[in-house]
Amino acid sequence: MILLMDLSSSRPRYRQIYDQVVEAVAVGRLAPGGRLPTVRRLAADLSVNLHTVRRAYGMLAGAGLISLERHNGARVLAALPPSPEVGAWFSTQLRQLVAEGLARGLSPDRMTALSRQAVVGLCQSQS
Amino acid sequence: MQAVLIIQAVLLVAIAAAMWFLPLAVAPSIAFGVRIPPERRTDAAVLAATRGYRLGIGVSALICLALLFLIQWPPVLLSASVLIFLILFLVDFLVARSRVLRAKEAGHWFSGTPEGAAAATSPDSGQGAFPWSYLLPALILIVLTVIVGIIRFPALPDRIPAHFTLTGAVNRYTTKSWGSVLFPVWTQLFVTGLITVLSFVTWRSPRQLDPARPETSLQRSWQFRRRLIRLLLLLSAAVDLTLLLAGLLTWNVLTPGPATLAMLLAIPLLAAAVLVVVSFRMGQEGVRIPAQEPAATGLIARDDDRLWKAGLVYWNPKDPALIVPKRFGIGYTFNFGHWLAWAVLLALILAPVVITHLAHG
Repeated sequence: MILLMDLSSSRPRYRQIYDQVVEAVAVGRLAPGGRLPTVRRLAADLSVNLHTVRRAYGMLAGAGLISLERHNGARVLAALPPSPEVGAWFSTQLRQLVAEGLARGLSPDRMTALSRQAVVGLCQSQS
Repeated sequence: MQAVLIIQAVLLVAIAAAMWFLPLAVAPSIAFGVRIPPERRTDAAVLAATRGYRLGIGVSALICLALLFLIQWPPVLLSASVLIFLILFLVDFLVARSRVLRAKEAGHWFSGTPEGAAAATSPDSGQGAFPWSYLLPALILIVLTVIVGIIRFPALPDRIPAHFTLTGAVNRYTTKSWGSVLFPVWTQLFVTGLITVLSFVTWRSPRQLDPARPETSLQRSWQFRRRLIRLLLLLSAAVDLTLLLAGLLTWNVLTPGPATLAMLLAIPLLAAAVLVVVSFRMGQEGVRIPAQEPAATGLIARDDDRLWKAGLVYWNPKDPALIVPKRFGIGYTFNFGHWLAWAVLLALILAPVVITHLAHG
């Protein structure tokens, strides 16, 4: 897969890496066992700091999506059956997102429709 | 003598033609080693710099051709005209580069454009295996040379030819030993080994993807590398064939004559010419290979001029890569911010000296 970095974006750079890897793992574009580049390689290719890539990899490892290897490489992990904490985490995240949507004026119907769209869209592109 | 002059002149014209064409063979976001937004390629300043550069190439070529034919250089100095041309080219390039740089700074070309970068997560995904089978012709020729050398060894006199003049007369002899008799084989092993190692490192080296269309540039780069490396391995076979012929001369299997010597020179030159033409048709990392171009991501390649000293020399100690695609040119160059680049360079300079010393004592 290809990682894109928008260097002019206000979106944090570690977050851009994190989000793209999460989505690639979710839809199966990055298969379990697949390798990610070393921290130095990815930092040079995306012209970001080593620290930025380390932070993204650290978060991905914390979420149980990748395992960090020697020489700063990383490998995609096979999905585990979700633990109860994952459900709780998801619920908290979603609650926060819905609250923000409501506060910024989105209707409940619109939010439900958009949520369904996101779930269906991602599950359909699963390979 | 006349033939050597003509070969030099043809070589000079060929190099000048390649340099003239070069601005078209690199990515649209590079103008004379300066990173520009791709749409600035047709900017008046870039067009003017290109015209000036090409005029400079033409004038330099004429000066060097005149030097070649007017001054009766001794043969050993004939390549000096090519060297002078390369120096003039460098000056010409730097002038064009500074013109583009000034226009870029004055016009704030990078303000307000979303700069980005792209990376392939795995460098060899979808690329297939290294084309090892193309190494076969070279290996067969080397084995053949070894066999002929071993068969001829007992019959050779104690003194064997070590150097021929251009007319085919022997002008230096050396004493017979396995080292000196099999000198063509040592050279073959060095050339083929070097080309194979460099090809392999290049095959696995990282790419500089265009963030506007990363998928397309990744595919083009695969095709470019595959074709280039196949041709390089065949070029190494052509050099090995020339060395086999040279072996046949020193082992008294062939008698030196104009036809043999012409063949000796023509084989590798022809192979090199094919390599150059094919690679220019593809463009650097395949930028000229026709491909379907999907919608652009809206990002343009970041301004990375500071990593390229004088627009030519890559210096990035933070980049773990040893070999990277050239910025203004076709092919690859070292990351001179990597200590290994200097070690390899030193080894390349020393190797011919060491081989000659070992073979001839």
